[in-house]
Amino acid sequence: MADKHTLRIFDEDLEKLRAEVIKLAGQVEDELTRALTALISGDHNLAREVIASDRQADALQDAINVHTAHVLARQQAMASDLRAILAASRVAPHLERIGDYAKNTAKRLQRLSTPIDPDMTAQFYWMGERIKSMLRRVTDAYMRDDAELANVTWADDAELDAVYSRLFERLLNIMRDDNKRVADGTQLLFIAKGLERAGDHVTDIAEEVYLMVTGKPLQGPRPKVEEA
Amino acid sequence: MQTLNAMHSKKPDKIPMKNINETVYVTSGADAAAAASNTLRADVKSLSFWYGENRALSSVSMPVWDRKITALIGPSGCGKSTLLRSFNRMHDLYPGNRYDGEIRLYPEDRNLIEMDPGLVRLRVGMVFQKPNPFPKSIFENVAAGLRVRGIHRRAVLDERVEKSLKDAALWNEVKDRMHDSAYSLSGGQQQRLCIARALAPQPDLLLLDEPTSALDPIATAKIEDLLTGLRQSVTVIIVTHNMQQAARISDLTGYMHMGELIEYGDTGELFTNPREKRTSDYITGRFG
Repeated sequence: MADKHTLRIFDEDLEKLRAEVIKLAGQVEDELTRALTALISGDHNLAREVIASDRQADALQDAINVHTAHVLARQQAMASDLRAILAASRVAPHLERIGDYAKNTAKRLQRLSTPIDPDMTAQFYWMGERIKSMLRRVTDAYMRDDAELANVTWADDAELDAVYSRLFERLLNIMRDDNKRVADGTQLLFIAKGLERAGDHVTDIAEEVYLMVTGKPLQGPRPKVEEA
Repeated sequence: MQTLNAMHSKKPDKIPMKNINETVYVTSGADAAAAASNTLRADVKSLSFWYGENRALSSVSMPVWDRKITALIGPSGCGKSTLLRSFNRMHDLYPGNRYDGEIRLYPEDRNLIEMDPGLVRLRVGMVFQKPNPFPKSIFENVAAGLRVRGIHRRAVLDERVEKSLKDAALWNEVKDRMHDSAYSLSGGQQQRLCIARALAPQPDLLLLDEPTSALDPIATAKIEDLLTGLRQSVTVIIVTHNMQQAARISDLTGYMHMGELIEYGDTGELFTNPREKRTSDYITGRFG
């Protein structure tokens, strides 16, 4: 963390903004955890709770937007301070979108007519755990101004993409083999795609954190596996 | 080291090696690249300066790009005004001051420090913190510098005064009262009159030492707007305590601290991603 400002209220503004982003990250991680639990256990009551709780994430993002505008108007931020404010305003929408994917997971699981196959459950579980792990690490990187951790997290999305590709193929085969399962298969495809997109948002956050800390964009192509 | 009189009469025995190790030159910004592709109007080379025994500048090296606005920022006493006033040899007006190093003027590639100060001031315009119009009419204020240069034909004077007032964004406000006293103008108008007066002789360099610190925000905005317009025709160096002003209007910025140029480069780059911690601490308000 940088030295304190001569104007202490500026420190307070920046700390408050950072705290709000971290709170939103925590809210979104919680939504994701409960949405995946609901998916795997088929718990529709929990799914409804997730859908309702997403409003909190939206409200937190709105608060960050308002606070960002206030800080920009009040303080003539420069250099690392300016990057910190811009990072907050750019990270928050990515977090909010991850919350949306958790909510969509909860909505779609309510439309499933049968429970998910146990081996496919493992793949959804793995994807969910990986996203949560990436989200925790990128949040840590944001909290600690840790560019290296942001960089590692940024490159970590490749495995998630690989598992998504396998799951995608699997679901296509199931629907091809048994057209009675097309409806459920389509819902699961959207859920899988949502999780994969959530991972992309985490990597976007990692890019923002890296830029915030170093002042430079992450260079080079992100590691990729075969796309579905 | 030499006294000013000695430097006027002969070349320094030895120009010290340029020490730019302490200054970070940022060249990665797009604007810096554009600047680098342009021509130099002046080049400060290992310039040091003493007020008597007190060293105010320590081996400063900095290019001044043609038709760009260069801002000098830094805390009080950092040497930014001293550096600015070296460009028109104002220090020569006081005894005991001395320079070491060079300010090379281009395209003729002459060391400004070794030129006749009177000739230097004919080529370098200066605007100060507080408006300082002469106790004369608006017209005569702008014409004064032209008359000093031997321009007396009324038609030429009329033409140059009008152009200078237009360049200083003041013409429309004063064209119907050119023979009123300059003191009848508001503070902001007086400062634009001083800029018109400095522009009239078509200087190579226009120096501004905190030109808006005594003005209200509207008058400040008008001055800033006219300065960004002047960039088409004149090279500007501005000293300002207002970092936002430097960020708004300059192409290149130098950050000075305790007589040293700590960092110099593209304004956008310096204000978003300074290379030097000392620059970052100053521009983010963590200084001292």
